[in-house]
Amino acid sequence: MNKPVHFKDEIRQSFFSYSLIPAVIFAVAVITVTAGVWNWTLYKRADSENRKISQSLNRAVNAYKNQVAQEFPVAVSSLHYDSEAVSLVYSMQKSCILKQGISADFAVLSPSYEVLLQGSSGGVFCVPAWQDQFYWGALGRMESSPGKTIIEISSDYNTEGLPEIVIGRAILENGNVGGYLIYTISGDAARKQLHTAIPFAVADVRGVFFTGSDSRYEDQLEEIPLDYRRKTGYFFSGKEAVCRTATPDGLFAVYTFSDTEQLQQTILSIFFMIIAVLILVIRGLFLSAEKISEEKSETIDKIVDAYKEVEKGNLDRHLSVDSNIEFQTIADAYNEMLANVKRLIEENNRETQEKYIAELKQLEMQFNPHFLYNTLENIKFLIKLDPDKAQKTILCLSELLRYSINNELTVMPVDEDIHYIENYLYILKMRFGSRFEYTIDIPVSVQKYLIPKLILQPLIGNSVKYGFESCEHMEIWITARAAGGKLWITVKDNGSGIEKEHLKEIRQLLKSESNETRHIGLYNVQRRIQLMYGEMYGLKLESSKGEGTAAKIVLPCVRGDIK
Amino acid sequence: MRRSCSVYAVICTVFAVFCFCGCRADHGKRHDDNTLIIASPHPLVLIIPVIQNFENETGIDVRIVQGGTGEIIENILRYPDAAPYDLLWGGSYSSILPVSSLFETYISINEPFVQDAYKNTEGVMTRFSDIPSVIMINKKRLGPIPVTGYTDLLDPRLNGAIAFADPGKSSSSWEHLINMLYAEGGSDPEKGWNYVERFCQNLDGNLLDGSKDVYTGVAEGKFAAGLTFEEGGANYAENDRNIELVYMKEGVVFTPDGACLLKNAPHAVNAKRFIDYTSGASVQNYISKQLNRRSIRRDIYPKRMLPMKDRLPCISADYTYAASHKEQWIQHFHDIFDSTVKGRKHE
Repeated sequence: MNKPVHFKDEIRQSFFSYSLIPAVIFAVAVITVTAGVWNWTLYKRADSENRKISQSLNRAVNAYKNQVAQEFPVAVSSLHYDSEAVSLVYSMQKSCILKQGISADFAVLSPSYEVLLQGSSGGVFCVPAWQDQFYWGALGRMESSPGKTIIEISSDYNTEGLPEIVIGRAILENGNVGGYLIYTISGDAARKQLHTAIPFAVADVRGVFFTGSDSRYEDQLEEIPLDYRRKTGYFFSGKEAVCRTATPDGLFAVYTFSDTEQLQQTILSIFFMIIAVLILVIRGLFLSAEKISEEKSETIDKIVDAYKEVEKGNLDRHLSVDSNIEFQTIADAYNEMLANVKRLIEENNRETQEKYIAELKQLEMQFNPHFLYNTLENIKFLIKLDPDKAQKTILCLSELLRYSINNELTVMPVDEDIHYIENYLYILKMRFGSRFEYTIDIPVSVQKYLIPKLILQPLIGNSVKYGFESCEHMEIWITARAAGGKLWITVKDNGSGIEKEHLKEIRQLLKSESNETRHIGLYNVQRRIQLMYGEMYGLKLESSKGEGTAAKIVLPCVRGDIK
Repeated sequence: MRRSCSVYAVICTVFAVFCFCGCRADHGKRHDDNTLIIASPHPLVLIIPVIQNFENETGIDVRIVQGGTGEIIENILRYPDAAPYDLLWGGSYSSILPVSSLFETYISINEPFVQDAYKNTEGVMTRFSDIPSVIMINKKRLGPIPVTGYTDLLDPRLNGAIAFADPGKSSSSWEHLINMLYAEGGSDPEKGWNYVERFCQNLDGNLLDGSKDVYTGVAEGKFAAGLTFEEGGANYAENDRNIELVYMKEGVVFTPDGACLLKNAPHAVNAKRFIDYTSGASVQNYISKQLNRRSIRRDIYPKRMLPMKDRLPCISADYTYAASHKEQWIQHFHDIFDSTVKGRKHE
């Protein structure tokens, strides 16, 4: 699960998770809270207006309801002729109406629905001509249930056919219906007197429209449109918030409306603005996150790069950090560590170099004492037999020895070194006479390559040592060639050769790093070459019993002057 | 990438929340409370007072779905398992008869007071009112042209001035088609098609969508004469001296409409109450005293403005026959009408 990640990516990710996501959440919260508060405000206003309407309406309806329920002060029939009775009834009803917040009209009807008295501020109370022929409408219900106050919305009793709240009751005289007292509240009067600040409508509990601030609250069935009647309480319908409650007496339903279009538009525009800003911010963040994380991780990258350089072997990289103290401490420690490592490596190298030079010097000094003894013995004879040759032999030997002990020289061009090898070969020729022949074939092209001085001498010595074991006559060929950046020098003889077992032993010896045997010569050649030029170069020995030996050395092609 | 994905998820969620806030669905089913759903082709002037009085009388909350008879029946047929309404109130006898299997048998408590001709013999349709087909004329538009019956409608001066609705869509037009066929064909309605052809010629390609278009069209003076039902015309004739009703001298067919309880009605009890209420004396009196309808009750007479039935040239139609030929006849009518339209195009 925990995949290794780059420090830079981690910084970028945390940038997103700690800045962008909280920003989005914050934006959402702002929108939600705004919508919530707004909605709450709408609700509070709609609710309080609703209560106001509900209470005023209920108070008025209750007052008129109580008024109709009171005993009628005079006989209804006396209204035909008794003006005192008329004025008593009139003033009684009017005083009741004037006390109310919502005014009403009243009418007193005879049992046959004749209007005996009415107090009206505008419209006229009119009864359909057929009213006495059959039970119909509010009056019909008053007639059919005389002990009961009828309160309903009806548009039967005015000339315009407008809805009114009809509150009425049969007046009982001696157990019979003596007439009717009816109050009507017109929708118009109610709308004006309710003083409502927001759109509203009033209907009965089954939706029959009474009054409202706008004609859209009444449908063609003269009811509140069904959409507004689906629920009670506070709810949304289309672009309006509706608050629907019943009046305390449960007869009417009061609707208040708040326009939510503006709210929805505002919320939507805020929402889209935030989306737009977010898109910009996200784009910006992608760019800046990259840049910032790059900046922040620059020091880390520097340190990582420095360590990678060390891994590759480059110890010269100095780390300079100019940011936090923490990183500076790391950098200082790194620099100090690197300095220490470098110093240690240098010390180590110097020691190795010294050791190596000492070893080389020691190896160069490996002239066989037998050779000196034999040469001197030879010279002893030559002085008597041929003083000139003796002189020349001594000259050769002394040149050779001087060359050999010159510590300042380690490498020589092939042609110069061969000159000293020829001295050596001359000495051997003096010793063995016609039994020993040699050929040197060095092409001009390789003559200026540098080789370790007298590197061929031990090989020749080796041939002489083993070649004459079972042979009377022996020839040596010294050849050289250069190919592929390597210089090959071969010393080949046609002597007795080396036995298989012995050859294997010598080859084994050449591979090892120290020599405990008596084959000092060959081992030293191998050791000198490898110390000087590395493991890629060295000595190869090929031989078989009775067919001679070939010793091949491989060196790099190096040209140059000797200092 | 994972982070930015979650960011977009948050954005999408917010967006979705807003979308859903905008459209809070209301699926308020109110089958269990004290309501009643009535489908009716009746005019509002009849529907509103009757429904309001029924509501005040019973406390039942009525929901009205207004529409043409054909439309309502189609809707009932579309939902064979769950009745969309409780009651079909309105729709002529001849349009109910072919689909009587959709309705439940119910005999109202007022059946003894119903005229013998309008007894609920089938059991599914309690008669509500008695409706004659009439020709409604606009005298101002008509001028000196006399209109006394179907024959006068063939007058070439009336070409294009006659309002008639598609009998496939309007039940009052369907009644007129039956009336025409029986009035012109005598006892054999098939003989009446000759008249229908000539009548269609005179329509001049005008076929209206509903009965309402006919009486409003004549009232507004768009047409000089319209074939409609009595009440549709009488409501205008009552208040406008230019409008008059003509009872066809060739013969007038009276068709009852009624109230039918749907099978599996969700509020069957309330629906039965409504059927009893509308066939009761109050409503029957109201429709004949206040509105321009004829009661089906024996004890109630029409308004003075409307002529008594026994003074009109009443003819009877065989409704069983007509109902069983409804599709065929309407198709035949359309063919005739279409041929007059095509014929005119070729000219």
